[in-house]
Amino acid sequence: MEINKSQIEKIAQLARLELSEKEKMKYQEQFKSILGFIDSLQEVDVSDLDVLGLSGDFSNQLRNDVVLDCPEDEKELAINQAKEVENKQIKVKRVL
Amino acid sequence: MEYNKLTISELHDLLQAGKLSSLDLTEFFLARIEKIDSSLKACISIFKEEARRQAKKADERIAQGEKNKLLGIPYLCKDNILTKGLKTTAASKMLENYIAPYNATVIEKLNNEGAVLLGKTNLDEFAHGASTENSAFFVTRNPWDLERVPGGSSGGSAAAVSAGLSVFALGSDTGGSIRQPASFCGVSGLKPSYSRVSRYGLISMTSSTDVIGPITKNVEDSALVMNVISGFDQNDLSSCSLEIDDYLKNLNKNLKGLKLGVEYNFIDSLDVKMSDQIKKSLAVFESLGVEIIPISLPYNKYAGSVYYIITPAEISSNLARLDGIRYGFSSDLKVEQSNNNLNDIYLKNRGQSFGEEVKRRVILGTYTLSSGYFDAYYKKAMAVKEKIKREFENIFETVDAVLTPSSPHIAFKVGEQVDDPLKMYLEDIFVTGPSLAGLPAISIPAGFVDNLPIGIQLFSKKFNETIVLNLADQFQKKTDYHQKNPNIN
Repeated sequence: MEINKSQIEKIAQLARLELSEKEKMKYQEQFKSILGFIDSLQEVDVSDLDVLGLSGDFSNQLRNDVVLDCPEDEKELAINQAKEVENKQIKVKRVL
Repeated sequence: MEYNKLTISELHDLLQAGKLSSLDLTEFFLARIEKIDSSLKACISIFKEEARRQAKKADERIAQGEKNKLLGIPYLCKDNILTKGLKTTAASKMLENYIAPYNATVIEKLNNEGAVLLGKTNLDEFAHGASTENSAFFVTRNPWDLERVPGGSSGGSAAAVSAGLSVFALGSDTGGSIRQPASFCGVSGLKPSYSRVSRYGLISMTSSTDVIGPITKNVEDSALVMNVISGFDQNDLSSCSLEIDDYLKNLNKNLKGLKLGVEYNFIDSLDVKMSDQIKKSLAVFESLGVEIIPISLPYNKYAGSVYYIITPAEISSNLARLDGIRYGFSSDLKVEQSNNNLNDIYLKNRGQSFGEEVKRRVILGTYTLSSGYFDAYYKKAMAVKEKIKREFENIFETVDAVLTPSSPHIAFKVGEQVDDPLKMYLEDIFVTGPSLAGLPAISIPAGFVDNLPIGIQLFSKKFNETIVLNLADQFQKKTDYHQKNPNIN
């Protein structure tokens, strides 16, 4: 399976990654061998299986939907890492 | 006194007898790091003042009669595990200045036990790699030969324990990231069963296989660390609520009659010096009364392909949270000063701070999950993963554990494979299968080839850490490979 430059550009947009022209070329080249490697799976017959998600040895563990307060110092440490903070809130560009 | 050569139990006895204080021991390791790490480059951060504070507290607790096994014992931790108020970088430019707001559960448990955190170790950025060359900051060296890599992604932790910069270290393993560097550096490294240890506070990479585990000088130390870090955690509902065995107490059980499966095709695929040395370890197990049973694992050859679909897919999703807005790397674009839209800010923050391998995996994962390719890649990989898992389950109906090489070769030279990502992906050929199946697996030293350490991997049924640790411990009682130290001072 090959992957062309415009596909790389589309995927990079979807993944929110800015790539240089050099990177695009490099990844396009490397993906040939990587996709060739993972394509080996196509030879495996899995028609007897329909698996998606967690396998049999897991079951959901639930907890009560209760709000647990977070220590004040942890809140401060978390909020203050943002580039722009105002009144304990993180400032972002208008999205609408 | 060469405290760097002593195990947890030996140091515990000295601390309890009052022959040594935790503060002195901590100063010993801080001085050793200062002296050696400029050439080894195993550590990203050293927290001198915090370590001294924790050591003094440990000394007070010892004086009050507390006898916890890890009380006062200095350790290092892979830098993708959160440490409150202290830098946690994941070896990425994205998190270069990130201060963790809370402790990972494993750190909290070690704090309660009284272990002393010295600092954080280097890794491949976000644990993506097998050589520690993908760190955004610097390459860690192998203490046995500074021209060579320590393996990865927990290369800093393995190199540090091997060089005696701390008594033990924590690593994380997703497809071999504890076991492969442990084999390259000649130390013991356990990947516990999936869900055995809480991952709260571990920076997520591949949530379906990520596990935290110990890297230690010997198997007994791994058992001691496991006794502290294992168990259910309210903050990680993927952690299992099964009762935890006393891993230490379960060492020293007689191995007579135990069946150990060996896939000879794996061993015969190695170069002759490696395979001869691995075969010697089979003889050691036979001398302990273990029966060697030839087995066949035909699906294992697909483990790498499955891994490099599932892992990038989960990475593309897990790393989506890193947008540089709430925390992390921020390009020069300011919210109000620029005309750019929010999307441009995401593109720049991520594009300018993620390294080459991280981008490669994010793109690969986004591609295999994208519309039209999902069934051919991800769904197929999940089905083959199930085949691999069932193959192991069948094997464990006839054998108690399996032995394989940990790595197809000795540590390679820095730079040798860096431009060939596929070759790097094949590093984990023997260790990825047990990761995909969630099995407990350990790598222990099994001798030397060309003066560099090699390792064997032992794994068993899910949650059967006790048999893995017991086999590995008895092997170490019959061999002295794990007692050899690199000549680095």
